[in-house]
Amino acid sequence: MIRIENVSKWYGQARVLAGCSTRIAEGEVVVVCGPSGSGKSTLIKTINGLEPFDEGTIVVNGVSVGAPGTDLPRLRARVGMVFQSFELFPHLTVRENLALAQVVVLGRSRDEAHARGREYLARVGLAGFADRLPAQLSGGQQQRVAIARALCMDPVCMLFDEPTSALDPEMVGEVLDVMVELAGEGMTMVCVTHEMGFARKVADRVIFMDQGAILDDCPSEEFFGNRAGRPERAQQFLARVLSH
Amino acid sequence: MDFSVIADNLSYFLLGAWPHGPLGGAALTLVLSISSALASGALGLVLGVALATTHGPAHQGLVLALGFFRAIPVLMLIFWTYFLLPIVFGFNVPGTGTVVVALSLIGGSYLAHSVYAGIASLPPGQWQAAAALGLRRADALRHVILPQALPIMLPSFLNQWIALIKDSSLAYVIGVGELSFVATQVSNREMVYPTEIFLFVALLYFIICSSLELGAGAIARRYGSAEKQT
Amino acid sequence: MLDQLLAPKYVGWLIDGFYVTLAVSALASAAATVLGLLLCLARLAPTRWLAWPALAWLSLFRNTPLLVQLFFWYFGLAALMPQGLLEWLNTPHHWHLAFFGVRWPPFEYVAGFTGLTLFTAAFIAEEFRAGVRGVPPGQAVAARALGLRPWQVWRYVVIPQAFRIALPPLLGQYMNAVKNSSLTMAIGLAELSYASRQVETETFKTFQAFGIATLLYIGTVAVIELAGQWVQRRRPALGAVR
Repeated sequence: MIRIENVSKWYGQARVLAGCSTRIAEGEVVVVCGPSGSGKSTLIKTINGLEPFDEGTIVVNGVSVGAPGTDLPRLRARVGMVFQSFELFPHLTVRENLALAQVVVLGRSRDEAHARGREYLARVGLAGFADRLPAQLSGGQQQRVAIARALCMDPVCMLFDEPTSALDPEMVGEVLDVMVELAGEGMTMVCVTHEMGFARKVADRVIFMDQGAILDDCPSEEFFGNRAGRPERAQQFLARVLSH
Repeated sequence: MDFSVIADNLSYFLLGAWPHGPLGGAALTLVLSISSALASGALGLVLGVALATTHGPAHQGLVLALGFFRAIPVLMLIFWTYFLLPIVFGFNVPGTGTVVVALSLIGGSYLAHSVYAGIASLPPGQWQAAAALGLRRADALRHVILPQALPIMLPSFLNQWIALIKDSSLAYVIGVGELSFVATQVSNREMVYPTEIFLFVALLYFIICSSLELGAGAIARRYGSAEKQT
Repeated sequence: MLDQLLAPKYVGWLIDGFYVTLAVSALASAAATVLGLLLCLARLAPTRWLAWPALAWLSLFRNTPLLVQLFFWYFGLAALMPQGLLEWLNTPHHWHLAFFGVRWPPFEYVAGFTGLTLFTAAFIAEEFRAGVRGVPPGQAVAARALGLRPWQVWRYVVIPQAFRIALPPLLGQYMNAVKNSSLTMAIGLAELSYASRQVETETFKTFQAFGIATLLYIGTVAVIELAGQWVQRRRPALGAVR
């Protein structure tokens, strides 16, 4: 489904991605973790071409992301993304947020888009909220709408960029519940997150990054079960995040 | 285009009839602008602090009075001061003075709001911390609040002063011999080169205003505050 | 007491002047909004072939007095025009379009409208630009992530939000247009300030002439202010999204 080969990226002199390679199969749930500044957000954004990269190859669903002729908007329409800061469009109601890209990108009729929107809004437990504005929702509700917005596009895979980091602690659970359910339905997911409980419970694989490089890439049972077999940086990271 | 008309009248554009007569042209524009910049700055500071420290009817009255000056065209205010100042003071006020009064009132009313906004933008904890140290309100204002608020306000002061320079051209309507007035005089006398004359005069204003604008931009970047437009 | 009032004839002059003020400032505001949006987009264009000329244009029109600009359009442009065109512009023309008789206005109207529009547009462009900068960059990223094309990102996500952010300062610019329209009296446009000065010269009733004109200006500015507050109240604030 997603193939990342030897991807590197520089900001001037600073190397933010250092020869990253991995493959993500259809239906797989992969958690990317690592200390802040390790390049995990940058890596996930290269998958749908929001971050250009300088070297290497990324192929998503048979489409080469970095190739010059690639129609990136068309690719992005099939790759759902959820952001740390939600990024709902504040000038549009929830209903319009869900419908916008369906109508202007996929060319669906308004009725069809609204029907699809209603369906996914119910799936994330917010059936009665269609006419609210984003500012009238809590953070957890906004993030669930953002997930529904991405799902409305019938994505072949979903990218989550720290979806719970901006949330108050009591709202983290409702968003993770939606993600767990989605994983259970067989959605291909790449999640940058610090939620190790979620990773242990749902992820098939864990990727650990530091200083732009992938240091560890293994099944989650291995990652959490065999602590001694992990690279030193990953052990330190796990000790820090699991001690809380 | 024939710019010899500019060269022939250069001294008149820049200085008016001076030194054989009254100062005029670009020099008078600068005199008008600098006097009203100083007066409007002082007025804006005093009124802005008044806005920040008054409550209830006094505050409402002040807002209303400032609103009045911001709602009328500069031109109308120049008419009013031209007409009213001699009545108030009992003697003839020179046109230059009339214009400075009008521009200072308008500029001061705008600046009062910038000063007020600058003071209000500071976290209330700053007032409380000063009070907790035993400072009186006036001392808190002078030593704690204004030193923090003034850098925030500086770009709006500079922008307001740019507006003043441009508005000083309205002195034309009561016959004060500043740059715009001189330009129309020369244009009427020469008859044939209005394009060249007004382009040149626009250029002079542009040099003065844009150098101030560059300064405002540099200061805004330095203090990281958004530039405020009037 | 009664002889303190202005004769109806002079009140009529002021009302006529007021209509001209309203018409010129409304037309100039509308044209300046369109032009301002275009200038703002050019200023923000990724290519410097658009951005730099736009920057120069904005800087030039913002940093010279409106009065000098009006003189330039009225005297300066007229001197550049071929003789025939100027004569044509200065003579009355009538057209009949469907049911409306269209009259080509005298040259001072054309020059006044042009000057006020170009001056106001330069300020409106900067208000729009501030509005665009007020839209968090993540919004455009999210729109791109949904597959929107660059023009769709602008059309559906950035411009609508920028417009809302820019609305209060935009109304401020419309108020400025009303006030600035008074400067067109210097090129002989018979608007409100011109009329008040004329009435004052004829009647010596300075208080009444300037007073009525002042009240009409304040009233107009107040109406724009109230309209703005009404619009702001009617639609919910965007609020803090995060």
